Amino acid sequence: MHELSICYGILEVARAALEPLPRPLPRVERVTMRIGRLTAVVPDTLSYYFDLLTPGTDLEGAGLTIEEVPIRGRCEECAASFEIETLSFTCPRCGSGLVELLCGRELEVVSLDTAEEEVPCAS
Amino acid sequence: MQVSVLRSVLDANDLIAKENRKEFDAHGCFVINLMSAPGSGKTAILERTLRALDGKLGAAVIEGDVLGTLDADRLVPLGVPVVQINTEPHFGGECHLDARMIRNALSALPLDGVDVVFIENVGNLVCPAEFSVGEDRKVMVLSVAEGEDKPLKYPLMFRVSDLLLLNKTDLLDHLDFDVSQFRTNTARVNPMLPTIEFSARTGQGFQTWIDWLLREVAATAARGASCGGT
Repeated sequence: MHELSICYGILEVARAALEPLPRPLPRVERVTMRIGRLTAVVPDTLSYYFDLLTPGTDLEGAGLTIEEVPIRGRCEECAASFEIETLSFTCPRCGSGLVELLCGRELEVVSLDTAEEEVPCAS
Repeated sequence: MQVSVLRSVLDANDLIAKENRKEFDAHGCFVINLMSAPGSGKTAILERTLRALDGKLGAAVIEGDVLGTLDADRLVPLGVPVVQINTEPHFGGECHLDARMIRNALSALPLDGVDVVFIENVGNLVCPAEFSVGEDRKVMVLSVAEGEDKPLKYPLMFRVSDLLLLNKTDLLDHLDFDVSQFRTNTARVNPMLPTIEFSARTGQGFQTWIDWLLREVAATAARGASCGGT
């Protein structure tokens, strides 16, 4: 249900990333995100809001690609690292519950793909 | 061309949450983000808690609801400062509180003399878990009427919480809720999550909760003092 806020977050991150680029801005064709499986985000709902909110912004016409990130943990007692597929946050090797989350909560914009026109490096 | 970004969409929220935290720290406030599904008993827990803290600690409440002041109206007679946030008129009916909403609420909430701030989040077992608001601890409530399967269906809140109040245990005689199965399910998602069997109605587990609270407030105050705070 909070995909709307997340989507506003995407627009803000994209705006900040495009800010240093010279005008006119290249057309953004694709936004790539990484979303961890432990986040409570429904990708379909996020895509729906993305299509709803992007018209009239720098991301107008862009597609949204979502890469899912598995949940991985690391045992703080025996140092084993493992994928958490069945939502069991217990170390499969030693049974400890002291498990540090390595990934699975990502809500990141990874990159923006722009149309072919050459854009000089902003820095 | 590809513009590399690699930034979390929650960065902006987390930045404001840190600012909120500084503001709370500057006033020596211990802050609880109280989360649960609608109807789990958050407000009833607060009513009883505020009565118990009266004369012991200075408390304040930030109430989050989509609409209305029903919860705030229940707490105002208890004599603590209460600020109501409605997510409907300004935020599009958001299903959670975020750091910006708390920052806005702080302008209406005097923190001098306040030792503990309770932020009662919007009733929702999913979204509030994702957003930090500048709290010291996340406390979640689950009522036994909701079923023992919830940790497996909504794992994030169980994973990020520091304490779980299993509320409405006075109803257990009338339900099929299996406490031991619930504890097993919770342990799968967060084996380190302390759980208090609780009833805001009868007071079961209440003293354990108050003891936990007083301990946490004292620890925060000690930390503030050692950092040169007030």
